[in-house]
Amino acid sequence: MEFKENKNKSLLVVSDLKIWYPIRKFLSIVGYVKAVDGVSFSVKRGEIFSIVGESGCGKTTLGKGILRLVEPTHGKIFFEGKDVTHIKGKKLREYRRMTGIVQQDPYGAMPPFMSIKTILEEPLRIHKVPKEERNEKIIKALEEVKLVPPEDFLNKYPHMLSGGQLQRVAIARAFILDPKLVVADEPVSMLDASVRVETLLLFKDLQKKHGVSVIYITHDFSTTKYFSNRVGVMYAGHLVEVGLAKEVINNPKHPYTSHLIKVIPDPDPQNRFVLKKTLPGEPPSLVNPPKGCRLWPRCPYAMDICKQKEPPFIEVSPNHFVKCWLYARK
Amino acid sequence: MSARLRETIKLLFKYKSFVIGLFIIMLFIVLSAYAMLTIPYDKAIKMWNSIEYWKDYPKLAYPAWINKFSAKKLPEGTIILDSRKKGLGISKTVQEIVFGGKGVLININMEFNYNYDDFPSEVAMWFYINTTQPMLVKVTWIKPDGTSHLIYKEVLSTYQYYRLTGDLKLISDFTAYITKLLGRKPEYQMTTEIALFAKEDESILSKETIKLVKGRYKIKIEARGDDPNANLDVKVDIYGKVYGLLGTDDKRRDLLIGIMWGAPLALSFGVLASVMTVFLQMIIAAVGAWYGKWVDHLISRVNEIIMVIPFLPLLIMISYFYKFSIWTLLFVVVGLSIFGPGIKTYRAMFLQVREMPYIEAAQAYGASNFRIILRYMVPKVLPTIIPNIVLSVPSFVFLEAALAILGVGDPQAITWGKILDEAYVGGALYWGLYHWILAPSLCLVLISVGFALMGFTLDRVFNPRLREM
Amino acid sequence: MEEILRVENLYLYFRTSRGDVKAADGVSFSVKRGESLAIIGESGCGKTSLARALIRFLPRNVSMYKGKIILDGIDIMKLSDKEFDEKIRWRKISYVSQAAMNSLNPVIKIVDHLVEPLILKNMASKKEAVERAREILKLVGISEDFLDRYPFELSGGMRQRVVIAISLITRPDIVILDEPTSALDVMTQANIMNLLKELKRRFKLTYIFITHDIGTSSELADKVAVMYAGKIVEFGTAEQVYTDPLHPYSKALLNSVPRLHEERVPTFVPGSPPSLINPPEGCRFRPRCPNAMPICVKDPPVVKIGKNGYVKCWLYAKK
Repeated sequence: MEFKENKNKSLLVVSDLKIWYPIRKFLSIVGYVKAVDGVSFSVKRGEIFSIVGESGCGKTTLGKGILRLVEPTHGKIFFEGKDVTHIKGKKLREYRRMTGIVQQDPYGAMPPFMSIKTILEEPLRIHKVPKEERNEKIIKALEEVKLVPPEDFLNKYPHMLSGGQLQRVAIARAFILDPKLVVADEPVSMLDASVRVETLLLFKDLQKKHGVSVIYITHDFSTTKYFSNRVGVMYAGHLVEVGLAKEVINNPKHPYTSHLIKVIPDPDPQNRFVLKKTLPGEPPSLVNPPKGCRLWPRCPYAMDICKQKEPPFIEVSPNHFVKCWLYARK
Repeated sequence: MSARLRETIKLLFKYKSFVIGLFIIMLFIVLSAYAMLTIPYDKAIKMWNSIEYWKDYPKLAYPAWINKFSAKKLPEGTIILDSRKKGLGISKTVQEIVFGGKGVLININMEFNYNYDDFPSEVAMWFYINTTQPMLVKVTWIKPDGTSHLIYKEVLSTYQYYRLTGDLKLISDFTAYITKLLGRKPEYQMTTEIALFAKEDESILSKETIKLVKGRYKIKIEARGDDPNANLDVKVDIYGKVYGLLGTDDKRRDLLIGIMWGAPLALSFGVLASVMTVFLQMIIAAVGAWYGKWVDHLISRVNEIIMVIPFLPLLIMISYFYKFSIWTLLFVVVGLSIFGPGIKTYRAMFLQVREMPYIEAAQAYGASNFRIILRYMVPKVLPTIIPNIVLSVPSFVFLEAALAILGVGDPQAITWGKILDEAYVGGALYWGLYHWILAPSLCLVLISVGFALMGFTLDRVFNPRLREM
Repeated sequence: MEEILRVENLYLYFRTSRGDVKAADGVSFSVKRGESLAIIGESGCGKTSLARALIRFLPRNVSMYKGKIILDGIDIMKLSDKEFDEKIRWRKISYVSQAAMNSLNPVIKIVDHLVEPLILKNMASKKEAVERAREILKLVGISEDFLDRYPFELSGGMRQRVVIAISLITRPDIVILDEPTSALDVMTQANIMNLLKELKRRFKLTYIFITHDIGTSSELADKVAVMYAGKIVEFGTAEQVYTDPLHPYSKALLNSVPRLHEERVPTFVPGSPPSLINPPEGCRFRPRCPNAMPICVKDPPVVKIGKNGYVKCWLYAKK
């Protein structure tokens, strides 16, 4: 798909990215799970871009692909104008230095046998930050995520901290090398409800302070309103709608997005009297997705063309894109 | 890391099983240290395999402390009478013969006290002769009650070893003498020891009634020769029936030394084999699990193929062509032990660890494959593996012993297995020499129990799921 | 509508190596027939333990289990374990546990999962039970072809429907649902909630719906109980609790929910919920409460609000 974004203005440009997992039986490949099947978007410097979708839509794979934790099968990833899709060795290490990750499970994301100090020191050691600077950076990192006094935390082990505190260590770890891009995959879903907002706001503070771009992957649409500039909605390996967060939430164009938004409950006592309008069925298998638009088996507006040809990405208003035949001009 | 370590160690000591196990192993370590300090390894090997060194020790002796439990006091150690060493009860005179031609007359008188309740196991004499002309040597044996016998009369020109025990002529001469003296034949086949030490009256005729003469015995050796410068020295060994803490074996070796030196060998073989095997298995499993695809396939298939090859028959086969020294044996055993369920199990563990988010995070911040395996995966798996290391030590210790009994193994090494093997071959059970079998067996069992106790506790502590039980 | 369940001062403590976990610490509430009560709170507040206390699924290390549970006029706490099993469990009250859809026995067919409660409670012969299974599967929106399938052949949403069917097949009066949709996608979640609403209306079911997802709880709740550190701090109608919560924790909880359809910016309360082993003296929320007063070191009184509601807070105590 054509991408008219200026590669130089954007920090990250993803162009027709496909990530297919081979299904192996003994030594031969019998099929592919097409987790990401042609995704294009860009992330500007200092922006928070959310990728929203339900489980199995491929958003986690997309996040991992951008960080090169899985190998892209097709397409390109451009970082600061340079093609990083298949780089290896020293170039890959450099890329890793400029990117960071925050994962869903705070306890799983930390080696249980390393102290907090060691955990934060590892990235510094790997990238050969001189010894004298390391301690300073570690203390500063802990202070930035409000784990104070930092000395209290240096010698503790992960199991001694709460989920919220540990996730802050994860955020500190992601920022400690001063990256340009951080991919956060469901960073607060495993935390207590009362701690979620606090953690996200802290993350946002850090992001602003360091001018870092963040790709925020989540299934919770409601948090994207406060935590992102733009949002991309994913369904069955495709991005179906991209735009400003407020715009997409208040004015969803794609049938999937609009149903998703309507279905999410706010705490309203009136909800119990109303049956929510949902899409029937379930997301398709990624091994054999339907031909044409992936939503057509469930879409109330499905037309003949939807069953045959994959819809293009159409700009319905400035910077608001929808992948749907309903908006194609005939 | 050290805080966690201290915590873990404190927890371990709360378990009685660990303390007992550790105590047992410490005992063996102390024993090993003592063995290595008092007799260095090379010296020990030479000593153990030399016949010369043990010449004066009794054969197949029981432990000396059984005398405490028995009414009959068995002779202990060996009474050594050596004319070359000045000592009590030994006198030697050398006279030059002037009349009737040139020559020399040497008289050696030896005296010793014998107050045990039982006969010696053996008696032997050595004649050290330095002469140009043959000498006539006569030996007279005088019992405390005055009876004397000429037991040896030979012409000798060089060194001669004379084993009195089993000398049929001496026995038949004595039997004839007794028959004549008492008018009746003895009811059993007499032995040298009976001839030399029993009271010569009616009691000697029946084995049940033999009486041993206690008191001061005398041995007179007279040698006459034409070489005036000739010299004769005599050594007499009267071998006892008990010796030391653990007795002796059929090669007259003090079993205590064997058992003592078996400890460091068992410990080092067991621990080294165990640690090396588990570590190599771990690294191979980690590499396979991490790199996946064909590397993993290859390792798994090679593992499965080698695993199927029977370990023991292969070793026995190889040992027919090459004799193993104990260290070669160690490497071969480790090499063959690596391939087995161990690699499979550890691979499964590593596959699980590989999926953990923190591994992914490490990749994301640029850790190399090597670093991830060594610093992120191994430490996670290690606590679960440590109990395995400790628990497999006994199996390697037993393996070495089993191999020794099967004849595979270092023929010169001093190991408990070898001692057991020799006990079996030497007919220990047949002769009722239970101490010869029990000493190494108990050591093997005890050291295994020690490691097993420690290992099970470690397993409990490092596998938290088991801790609640 | 008459009252079907009344819980008075229910206590459930269990012993651990570090002390007693006071999971339910004097909990009281009531539910009318055909009504649905949502118990909301964060993880670790004791709501799952409360659910299990109601159906007497107790762990082995219980150190205290007392109080009154009056079901249709009878105090079921006084029943022996055997009587409870025969008369109450899956007869009057059934239970859908957290992520039950993942604990379906993978080697047992769907039909066998469904008939089991009927057979075990001697409520039907095998033939009748299979018929009932067929009916109920249709009721929850699954084709009867799936009777002979195994759990792995069904999607997450379908498995959860099966679990709901299992809980309903013996026609209980009360169904306890512990986080029935937390492992599902939003869309599937909405479908399941729709189903639950339908079933409630049709069979006049009474639900006790336990969740940490405040938004989803409002899909079913007629009454709401807010739980914090083993105690219910506020109990009232859905209208009252969602729109005008009284207890400072209820307020904070509702303010922390990001709202998609409203313009409110979520706020948060610093700190985290206390451990149930050594909760703070007096009011458990005091260390984090913006309205904390000196008197809060004493256990706050239960202040009646409205007909059946209450709030456990000194702010509302009459002086």
